[in-house]
Amino acid sequence: MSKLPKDDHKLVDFIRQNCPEVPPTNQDLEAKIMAAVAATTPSEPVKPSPVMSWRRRSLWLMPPAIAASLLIGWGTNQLLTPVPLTATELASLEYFIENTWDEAIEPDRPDWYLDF
Amino acid sequence: MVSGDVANPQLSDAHLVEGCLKGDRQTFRLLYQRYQHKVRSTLYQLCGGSVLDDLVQDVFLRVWKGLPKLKNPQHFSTWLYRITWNVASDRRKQFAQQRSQLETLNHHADLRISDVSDLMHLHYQDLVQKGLAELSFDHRTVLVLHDLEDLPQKQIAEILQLPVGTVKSRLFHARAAMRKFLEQQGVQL
Repeated sequence: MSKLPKDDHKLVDFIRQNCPEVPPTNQDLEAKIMAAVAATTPSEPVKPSPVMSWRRRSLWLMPPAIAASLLIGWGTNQLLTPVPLTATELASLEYFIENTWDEAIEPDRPDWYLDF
Repeated sequence: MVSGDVANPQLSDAHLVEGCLKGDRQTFRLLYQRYQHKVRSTLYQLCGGSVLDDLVQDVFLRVWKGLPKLKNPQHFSTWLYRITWNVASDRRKQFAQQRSQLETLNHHADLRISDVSDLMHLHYQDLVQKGLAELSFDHRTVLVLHDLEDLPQKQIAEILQLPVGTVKSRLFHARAAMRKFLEQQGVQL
């Protein structure tokens, strides 16, 4: 029991000394309870329900699922990342863009936009 | 009642629980004998004596039925007090509108007055019973378990499934209310 403040000592002593006495036990009560016990079967321990089992199993699926997701993400990233162009390809691309755009926005042609 | 288990105090609660789980009803009898007085006393302080035997029976039947669900047999006493508290709580709800425990006490006291020298003691018993009845059920429970049943605050917290701080707070308020009541009745503490 924890330490009592000084004032509480007297109070607790008073309550204990003057606590109403518990009525004496009925001598038949033990036999009555044991008879009731004899007629009663203890409850079965609660078995995990199928839903719970499924949930537990699904918990074990979580780590492989996470690993698979990471692998797919990494693979997709690898596939979609453009491969660096070589110097020849860059020059070819630059040439193509210059020619194409020069013709599209030729400043000397006021009606250039009518070509479309 | 002299408990047969008093002669065999080395038998732990866990050992007895294991016996019960194997279907040994005589082992359950030992558990009953070991704890029936504590259960009876707690129920009496919380609910009075009108249906005390029925409540005690209810507690031990619930214990018998629920034993397979007890996860840690070493904590049997805490679990038992929890069931006792549940039974008392259910009883209180059922009879919230019925007559107060004071009537029961008066009836009980009337039967006992046979000696003038006991009069003051009976008067004080009456005051303590009235004081307990004045408390809320929550405060009374903590006061009974701690100050009368001598249980540590930690175990009370486990029984009532409350933080220890809440138990301390309730005990403080319960004692303050009890002291105030007794002083109002002329008792000098």
